Amino acid sequence: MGFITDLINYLCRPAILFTLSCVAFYLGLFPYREKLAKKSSLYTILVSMAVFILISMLNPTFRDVVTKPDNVPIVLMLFLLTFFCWLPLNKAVKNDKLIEEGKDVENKQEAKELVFTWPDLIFSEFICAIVVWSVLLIWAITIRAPLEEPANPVETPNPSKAPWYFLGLQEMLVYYDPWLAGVVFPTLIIVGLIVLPYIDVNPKGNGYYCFKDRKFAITTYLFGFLILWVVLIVLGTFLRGPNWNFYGPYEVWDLHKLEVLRNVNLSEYIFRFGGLNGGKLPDFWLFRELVGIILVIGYMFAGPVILGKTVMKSFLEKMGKPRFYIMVVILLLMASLPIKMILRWTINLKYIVAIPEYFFNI
Amino acid sequence: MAKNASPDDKFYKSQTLMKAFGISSVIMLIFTLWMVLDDFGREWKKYQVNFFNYRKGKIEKQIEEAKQSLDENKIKELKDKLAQVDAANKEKAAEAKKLAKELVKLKTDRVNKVDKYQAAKGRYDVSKYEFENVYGHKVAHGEKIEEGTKLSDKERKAREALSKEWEKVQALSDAANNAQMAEDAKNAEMAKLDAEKSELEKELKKSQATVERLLAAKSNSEINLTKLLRSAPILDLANPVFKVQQVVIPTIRDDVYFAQVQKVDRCTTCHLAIDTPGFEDAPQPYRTHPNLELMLGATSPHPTEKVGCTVCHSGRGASVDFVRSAHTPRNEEQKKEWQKKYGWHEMHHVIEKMVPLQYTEGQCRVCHRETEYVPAAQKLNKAVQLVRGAGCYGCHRIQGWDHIRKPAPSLKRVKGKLKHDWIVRWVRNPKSFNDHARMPSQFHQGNTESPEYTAFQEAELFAIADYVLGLSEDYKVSYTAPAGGNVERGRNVFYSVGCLGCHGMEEFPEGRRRFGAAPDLSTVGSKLNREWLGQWLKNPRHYWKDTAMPSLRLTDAEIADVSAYLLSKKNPTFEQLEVGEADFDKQKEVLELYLMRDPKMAPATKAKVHQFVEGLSKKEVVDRLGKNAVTRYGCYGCHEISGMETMPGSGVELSEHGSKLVNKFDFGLLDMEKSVASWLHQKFKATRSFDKGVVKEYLDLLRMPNYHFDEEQRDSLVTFILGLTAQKIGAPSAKILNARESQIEEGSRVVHQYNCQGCHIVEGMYQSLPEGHPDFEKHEKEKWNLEGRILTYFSEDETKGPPPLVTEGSRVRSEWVYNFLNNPSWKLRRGIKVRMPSYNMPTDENNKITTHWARSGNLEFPNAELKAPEISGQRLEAAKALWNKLQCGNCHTVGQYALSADDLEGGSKGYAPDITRSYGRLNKEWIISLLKNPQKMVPGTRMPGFWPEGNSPAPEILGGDSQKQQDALADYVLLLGYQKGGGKPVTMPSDLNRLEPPVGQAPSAENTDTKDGENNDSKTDS
Repeated sequence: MGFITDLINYLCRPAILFTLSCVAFYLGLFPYREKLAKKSSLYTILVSMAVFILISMLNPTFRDVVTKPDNVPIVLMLFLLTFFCWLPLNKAVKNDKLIEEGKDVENKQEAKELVFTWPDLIFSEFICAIVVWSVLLIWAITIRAPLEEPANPVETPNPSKAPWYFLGLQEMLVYYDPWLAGVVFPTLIIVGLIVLPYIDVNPKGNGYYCFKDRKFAITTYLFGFLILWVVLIVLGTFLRGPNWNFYGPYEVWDLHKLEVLRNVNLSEYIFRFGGLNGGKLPDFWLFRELVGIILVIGYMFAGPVILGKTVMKSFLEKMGKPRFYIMVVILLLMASLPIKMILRWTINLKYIVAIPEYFFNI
Repeated sequence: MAKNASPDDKFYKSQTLMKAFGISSVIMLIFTLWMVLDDFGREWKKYQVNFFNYRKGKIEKQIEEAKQSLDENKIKELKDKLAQVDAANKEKAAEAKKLAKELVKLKTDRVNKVDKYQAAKGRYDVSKYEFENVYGHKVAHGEKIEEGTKLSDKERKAREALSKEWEKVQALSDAANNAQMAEDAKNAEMAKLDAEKSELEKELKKSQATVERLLAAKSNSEINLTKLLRSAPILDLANPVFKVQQVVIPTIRDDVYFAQVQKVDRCTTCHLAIDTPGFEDAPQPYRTHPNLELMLGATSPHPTEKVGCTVCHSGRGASVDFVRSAHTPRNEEQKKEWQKKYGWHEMHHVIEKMVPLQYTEGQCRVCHRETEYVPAAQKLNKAVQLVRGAGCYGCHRIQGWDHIRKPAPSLKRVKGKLKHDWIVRWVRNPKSFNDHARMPSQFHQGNTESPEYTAFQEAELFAIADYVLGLSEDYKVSYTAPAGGNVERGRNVFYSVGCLGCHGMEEFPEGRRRFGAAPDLSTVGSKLNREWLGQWLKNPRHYWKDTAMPSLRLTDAEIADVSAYLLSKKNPTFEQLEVGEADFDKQKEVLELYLMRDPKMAPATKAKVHQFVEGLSKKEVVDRLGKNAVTRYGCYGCHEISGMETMPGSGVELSEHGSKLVNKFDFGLLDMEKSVASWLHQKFKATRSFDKGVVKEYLDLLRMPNYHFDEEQRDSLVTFILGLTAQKIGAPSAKILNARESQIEEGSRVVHQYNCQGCHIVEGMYQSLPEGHPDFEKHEKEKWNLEGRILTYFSEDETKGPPPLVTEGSRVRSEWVYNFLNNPSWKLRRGIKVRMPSYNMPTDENNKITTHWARSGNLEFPNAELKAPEISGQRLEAAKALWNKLQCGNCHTVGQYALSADDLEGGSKGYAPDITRSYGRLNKEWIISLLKNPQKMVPGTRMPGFWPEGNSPAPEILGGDSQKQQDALADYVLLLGYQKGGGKPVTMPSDLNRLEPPVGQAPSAENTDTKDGENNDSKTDS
C-alpha cells in the first residue's frame, strides 16, 4: 500500500503531472483517438476515476481535501468534463468517417427533419430546469456553505486559495510575476477567445463535430483549456497545501513542510555561472538583462516571422498576413506558460528578464 | 426544404415528457419542503420547546405545593362575605344605576371637551408657527420693524389675533379639566357604593395570589395552537413565540477587524434560565448560573444586561448553534460526550473560542486589570500568589507587574554568603538541596541528554558559579552573635516569633508551601555560615537593602539560639554530592558557540572564533561564558546581578498571551491536543518537552527551567495566563479604579510585597462562601493558603495568632499606623507570641500602607484632629458603672505593663489590648461598632457582645438606652488613655525598652513530623 501511495504522490508532482497530462493528451487525441471515442472507453475512464476516488477516500488526507465543501464542485466537474469532452470526440470520429465515405454528417441527416418548439424544446428545457433546481437544493441542504469568520489581517488562511475556477490563474503566479500572471495573461485569454471567430474562418465543422478538418484549431484550444486551465485547477485544488507547497494526494498537509526554492535569473546564469564579465553582474540593468531582453523580443517579434516562413508556412498562405500574425502572437503568448514551467522545472529559471529596479520581471 | 411539422412528428413522446415532468416536479416539491424545514428547524428551537415543557412541569409541581398551603377556611369565609355583600348591594341597585347613567353623561362631556381643546391647541400651534415665520425670524436676525409702517400694523394685528387665540385655548383647557374633575368626583361616589365589595375581592385575590400567579405562568409556558401558528414558517416574521434571545451591550465592542461592533450575545436563546433563580437542578442548557449573587443576578455587580456571557466565557456570542458558538469541552471525557451528543468538533476558524470552564476565573482580568487581586476570584488570586512566589514575572513581562521587585535574592554580595561548591550543587539541581526549593531546575532538564550536551551544561554551570562569585562585592558582617546557642531554645524561638509566617520548615508542616513568600529553611544548615546568618537575623537590610525580610528584634542570645537551630538543619545527602570540576576545554568550546553568534565577531568563522578564544586568559573565558550563560538562561530575571539590573527578562511577554493564536505555539513534534491550554499544561509539566525529536543546535534549545509544578498549580497558572488577553474593554464596563481605589491598590501591593498576609487575614484577598455552599469546606481550608498562613499553627484558637486586619481601615488612626509600622516593638496584646516584625521600610512604602488603610476604611484623610474625649458628670459615672458591670477589666488591663505568667500563657489579659492605648489609636465610631457586634468587626475575637440585638444588659444605666451606653463607654475607654498619657496618646515608658512576650513552646518533634508530615507532602508536592 505504502509503495502505491508513494508512487502516486510522486507522479502527482507538478512537473510529472504536467508531463503525463501532455502525453495523455497527445495519445488520446492522435494515435488512440478512435479507441477513445468508443463508449466503452468513456465508461472505463469514468469508472476508474470513481474507483480511484472511492478507494483513495480511505486515506484521511485525501478524504478531507476531496470532501471539503469548496472542492466538491471540482470533483463533480472532473466527471462532467470527461463526459463533455468525450461526447464531441465521439461525434467527431463518426463524422470524420462519414466525410471520408463522402456521406452527410450526422447532424445534416437529422437537420432535415423539423421538430416542434413546444413540447420538444421548451418542455424538455423546463424539465431540465426543475431537475437542476432540485439538485442545487439538495446540494445546498447537505453540503453547508463553507463560510468562515470575518477576514482577519493577522490570521490569514494558509493556504490562501482563490475560488476554484481561478486556481489555474493562481498556479500561474508560481511561474510569472503578478502583472503578467494576474493582469496580462487573463486579459489575453479573454481577448484571444473574442478574436477566435475572426481568426478561424475555416468553414469546415460548422454545425457539426469533426476532427480531421480542424486538427490545429481543436488541439490548440483543448491544450489551452485542458492542460493549461483544468490541470492547473486540479493541481491548485488538490495538490497545493500550506505555503502553496506541493503535497501528494495522500500526503498530510504539514504546516512545517519545507521545499527548496532556489531560483536563478537568466542574467545570473550568464554572468555568475557563465563567468562573463569576471563573474560580476553589470550594474546597469540594460547590460545585465540584455540577453533576456533580446530573447523575449526575438520570441515575440522574430518568432512569428520565422514560424510563417517555416513550420506554419501553409497557415500564412491560407490565412493572410493580418490574421496569421495575430493568431501566432496569441499562440506564442499561450506557449510562453508551458515554456516557462519547463524552464523552471529543469534549470530553476526564475526570470528571463529581471529588472527589480523597475518592478519589471518576465 | 424541410417539410412542415405535424403533431405526430414530435421528437419526444408526450406521455414520456409528462411522466418526467410529473416525477421531477414531485421531487422538486419534496426538496423545497425539505429546504424550508431544514431552514426552519433550528437547533435552538428544539431547546426552547423543551424548555417550555420543562418549565410547565416545574410550575405544575409548584402549583400543587401552593394549593396545599392555601388557607381554605379563610377563602371560604371571604367568599361567603362576598355573597352577603352582593345581596346587600342589590338593594342599592337603583341608586347605582342612576349614578352609572350620570357617569356616562359626564364621560361623554369630558371626551368632547378634551377633543375641542386639542383641536384648538393644534390650530393655535399652526398660527404661532406662521407668526414666527413671518415676523419672528426678522426679530431674531436683528431686523427692526419700523413703527408706523404697513408691516408694523400688520404685525400688531397678527400679534393681537394670536393672543386672543391663546386665551381661547386656555379657556377650552380649563373646561376640559373641569369636566375631568366632575367625572372623577362621580367615580369616587360610585366606588364608595362598592367599597366593601372591592375590598373583599382584593383580599380574596391576595390569599390566592401565589396560585394565580403560578397559573398565569403555567399558561405562559403552555404550547398551544396559537403559539405554534405564531412560530410557523413565514408567519413567524411577525411575533413568534420561539425566537432568538439576545443581550446587546453597547459599551463592550467586539473587534471584527477594521470595525468594532457592539457585543451581541445570543447564548440566552438556549440558556433560557441562566439568570433566573430556581433552575439550579435543571438539566443543561436550562440551569441557573451557579453564582447569581456575583454574576448575572439582577442585584449582582455583573447583571446580564451589562456584561452578557462571552466577556467572561468567550466564544461566539452571535451564534445560536452548539458547535458553531465554539463551546469548548472541559476535558477529554466531555469532548467525547459532546461529539456523540451534539456532533461537536473544533471550530478552527474561530479565534475567540470558549474558555474551558475550569479556567473561566482568569477572564476576570479582561475587565479587572488594575488590581493585583480580584475580589472573590479565589482561584485567580491563588494563581497570582503563585506567579509572585514562582517569580514568573522575572523573565516574562506581564503588564502591571513591571515594578515588582525581583523575586529572588540579590547576588550582588553573594560572595559573603555562599560558597562555590554549594552554588554548583544547588544550581545543578536545587531539588537535591530542598524539595521545596523555589529555584527552578535549569540544568539537565531532558533536552540536553546527549553526552556532548551534558558536558556543555556542566561547563556552563561552573562558569555561571565563577562568574557570579567574581562579580560579587566583598561583604563583611558588622555584627557577630555571641558564641554558643541552644538548638532546642532556638527551635522554640523559630516556632513562636513568626518566622513561619513566611518561611517553611519541614518539621512544622502545616503551613509549609511550595512557592511561599520566602525560602523554605528545612535544609538551610547546609547552606549558610554562622556569621552571615547572625548578621542577617540581626538586620537583614545590612546584606540586601531591598529585602522584604524584617527584623524580629531577636536578642543576641536568641540570635545565637536560632542560628544554632537553623544550622542544625542539614542535608547530608546534598553535602556529599560530588561537585566535580570545570572542564576548561569544554568551556572554551561552548564559548565558541556563543561567539559564533556574537554580533561583535560577525562575520564569524570557526577558525577566527577559535583563535580569539585561544588568546583569552582562563578567567576571561570563564567570565565571558558565565555572562553569556547567565544572559541566555535569564538568571538576572529573578536575581539582581551587577550590570544586568535593567535588562528585560529572557522569556516571552505574557501580557496578551491568552489571546495568542494556537498556531503561534510550537508544539514541536508532540502528538497532542492543539489548544493553548494544553500547550501551557505541557509546558509547565515538562518545559523542554517540545524539543523532543527536534534537531537543534545547542544554543537553540528550549531553556525555560523546570518548576516542578503540581497538577493544581499548573491548572491555576493556565487560568492566569488565559486571562491575560488582548481584549480591550474600556469604561464604563471595565473596572476602572477611582482615586481612592487606586490608593488602596497601591498600598495593597506594598502589603503583599512584605507578605503581611503571611500572618494577618487581610481584607479582600478571599471571600468566604456562604455556609452550606457545596464548596464551603474546601474553600475554608484554602483560605489560609491565601491569607494568614501562620494561623495554620493556631488552628485550635486563632486568637492566639496575629490579629485579623478586617475592618482595620475604620479601626485605627493613620498616624498610629504610620508610627506602629516604624516601631512595632511595643506590643498591644502581650500574650501573642508572634512578634510584629520591624520592617524598617522606606517612608514612601509606609505612607502607602497607611494611606491604604485610611482609604479602605473610608476615613477622612489626613485624620481629623485628635480631640480629648468629652465625658463628665453623670455620663462618666454611668460609663464607670458599665465598665464594672460588664467586667471589662477582667480582660483588658488599664495601663498595666507587667503581666502574670498565667496571663501571658493563655490568660485573657494577654490577648486583649491594653485599654489605655485606645486613645490616639482607635476611632470612636469603630469602638461603638465593636461594642455593638464584636464578631462582625473582628471575626473570631474573644470579646463577647453585650448588646445582643441591641438590647441593653444594664437597663438601669442611662435609662437602658443601648446607644447612649455604647457611646459613653467608648468615650470612657478613650478617656482612660487620655488621662494616663496626660492629654496625649500613651507612649512607651522609657524603662520598658523591651517588652517582647516570653518565647513560646514549639510542639514536640514526635507528633509533627510523622503523620502531618506525610499528609503535607502528598498535598503540596507533586
